Amino acid sequence: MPTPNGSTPTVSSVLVPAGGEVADINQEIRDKYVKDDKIGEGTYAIVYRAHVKGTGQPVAIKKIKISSASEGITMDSLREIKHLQELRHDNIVNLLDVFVGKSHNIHAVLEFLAGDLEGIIKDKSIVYGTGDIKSWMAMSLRGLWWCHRNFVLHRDIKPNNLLYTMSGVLKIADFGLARSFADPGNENMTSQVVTRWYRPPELLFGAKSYGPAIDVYSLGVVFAELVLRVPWLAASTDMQQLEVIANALGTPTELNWPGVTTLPGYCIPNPDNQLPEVDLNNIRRQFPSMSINGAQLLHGMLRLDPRKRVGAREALESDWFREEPIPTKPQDLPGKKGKEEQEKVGQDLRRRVGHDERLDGGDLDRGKKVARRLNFGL
Amino acid sequence: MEDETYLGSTQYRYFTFTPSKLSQIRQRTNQLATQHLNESIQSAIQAGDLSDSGQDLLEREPLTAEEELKLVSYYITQSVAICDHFRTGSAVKATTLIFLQRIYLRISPLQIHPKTLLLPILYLAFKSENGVTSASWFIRTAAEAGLTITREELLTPEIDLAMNLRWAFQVLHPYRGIEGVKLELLAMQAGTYRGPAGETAPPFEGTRDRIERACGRARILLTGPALCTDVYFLYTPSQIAMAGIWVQDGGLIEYFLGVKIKDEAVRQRLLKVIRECGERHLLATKDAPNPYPGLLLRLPQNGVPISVEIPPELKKEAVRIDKKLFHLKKPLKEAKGKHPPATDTSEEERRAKKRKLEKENRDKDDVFGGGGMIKRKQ
Ligand SMILES: Nc1ncnc2c1ncn2[C@@H]1O[C@H](COP(=O)(O)OP(=O)(O)OP(=O)(O)O)[C@@H](O)[C@H]1O
Ligand SMILES: [Mg+2]
Repeated sequence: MPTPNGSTPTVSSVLVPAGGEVADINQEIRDKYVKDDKIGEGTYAIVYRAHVKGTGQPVAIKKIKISSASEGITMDSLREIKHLQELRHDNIVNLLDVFVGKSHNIHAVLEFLAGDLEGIIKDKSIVYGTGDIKSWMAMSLRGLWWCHRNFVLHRDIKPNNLLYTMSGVLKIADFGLARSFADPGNENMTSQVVTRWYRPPELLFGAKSYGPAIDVYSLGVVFAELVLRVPWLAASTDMQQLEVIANALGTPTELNWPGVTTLPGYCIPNPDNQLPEVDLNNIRRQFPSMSINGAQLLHGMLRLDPRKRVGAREALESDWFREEPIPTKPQDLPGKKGKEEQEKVGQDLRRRVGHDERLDGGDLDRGKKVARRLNFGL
Repeated sequence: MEDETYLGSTQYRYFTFTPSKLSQIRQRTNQLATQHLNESIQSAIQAGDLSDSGQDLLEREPLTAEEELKLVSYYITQSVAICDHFRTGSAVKATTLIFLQRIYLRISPLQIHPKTLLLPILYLAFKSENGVTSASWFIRTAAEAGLTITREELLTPEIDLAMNLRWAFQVLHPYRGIEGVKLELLAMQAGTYRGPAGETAPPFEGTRDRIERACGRARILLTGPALCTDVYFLYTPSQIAMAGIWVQDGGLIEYFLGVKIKDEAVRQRLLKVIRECGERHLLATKDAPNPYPGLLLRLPQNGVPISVEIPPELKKEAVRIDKKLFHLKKPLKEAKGKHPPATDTSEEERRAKKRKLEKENRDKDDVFGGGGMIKRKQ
């Protein structure tokens, strides 16, 4: 293990296994990849495009920023590595390797992904239809099912965390907020998770104990957004968010959600306009282009009471996936993925970064950053 | 009974061994560390850095692998005490102890003394289980127990610990499985159990109390003494969970498996494993014949008491081994004062050369055992 030059000898110079294998393996892994250009930057990482030295296979390398608050390895990166090490599934981004760089930063090597659903939804030059939405939903649900089966909550499902490969296969990515729910009866989970527009009502009411239904709700909102092509439940404060939800899905009350009034942050968000929980007909009126099976699935994913929401597995069994038009094959899905378009992909990712930076001062992003900070204090 | 989620876990791929493989890893770590220590002393002698330049330094009785195992076992019990002070709860405590065991598979106390790693490992386990407020809180809490550590001492080893854990932070704890078995047993007892094909269970001769008591005691065993044994390296979580109940009440598990597994041969095979885990490890005593003669396992027969209480013999042994360790390393401490330590780059070059030589050997003699270096799907 190299230590920064000039520093006093630290523990790290002796904490190498007797034969030195771990350090050697680290260097072998490091030598396997060649870093190319920077393609993006998130809250806690810089993402580079890279390739495997021998084969030229493209990969993404996520270089974790060292925490300035000196808490050691950041919680985001620890969670991401912890969960991606265990979750091997076609619809979950594949973590290929982890290594420590020369500057002592952690590097996570991920399979290279071509773009994300947010990019597709926003790019008005891309035309897509029900078969395409079905395909993205089916792949998202499969990935989510695998997370939940492994007792992992993603806690940040949204279009820009649903990425796809050059051959169109959707991958759930960004596990920086994920956590395990294997210990039953944990009453001390933070509710400050999930980007606001996709945050379910139980979290907005401050629930300290929750489960897989939170991710199902978020994906339900993504589903609606894929259909409408604009964010569906967009609000700029938590309070407004509750109001927007109450107006679209109904006012949460003891009647439609027994026990909801005991949640720490419970309130009636739209006192002057209290509405019963929406039924299937109402959903059909809001989404007239959807078939009855599609509306039923959406309704099931967006129930106010988390206990009434469908599970990922149950959702996959919906007849909507079996009726015409059947889900599009991944390779036929829209989105840029051809070899000749790879260069463009890089540019698009960069553009999106710029866009994200502009949002930085905005409420949505700030909400998210706060969520992440508080979450460390679990 | 283990499914594909378990087979994909890092616990199975990196940290599950046969008894002889586990023993072999420990022997090899001790051998390599001893060799390394002697090489360092030799070069110090050649450089004239030692006042005592006699060959006798190299002919001292080395620290044996058995002694290393006892010393680490002693520090495992120390770690339990620290966890209790921190009121960590079962998850963090169990993860801490397993991290410690995993790290000292390939690190020898000759390289780094376990006592310097106890707090950094606990800190990492806290983070991994979502439970730490901040490094300052951690340092303060440690200080209340009279354990002083600087922020630097706490955080410097972190990345190396992570690397030695092979970036695998998830530990699958068998105590979590007890609750599931208990609920099923209670349903069987109440006559409400339905198998996958809707079948009912044969009547259970016993009270709810019997089930509650056995499962309660099993939990105490698996969140305490069992963490000082080798069971995590040798058995699957569900085997350990059932063995934990089996040692309290064998009849319960026999009945349970009778309901769950119809195939007589499969059931008998599983029962045999559960019995072995219970008898040889969870219930092991000093006077029983050693079922693994010659193997270096954490067993009372090898002088490693399996208990969270620190027995006076172990304490005495630990003090003796500690002294021996101190004296073995003393010449190096003296040499360090005279000679600047090798720079990191030269150390790296040295290892790069060595690596080439050893690579073939290593491929044959898979140092990581278990799943070895898993070739991940690209
Ligand atoms: N495997 C990948 N292949 C290609 N690009 C990727 C990959 N992973 C991430 N990116 C891109 O890199 C950028 C940064 O990703 P990252 O996950 O670090 O942060 P983010 O999700 O954008 O932001 P935040 O950290 O605030 O959630 C994103 O624009 C993302 O599209
Ligand atoms: Mg993201």
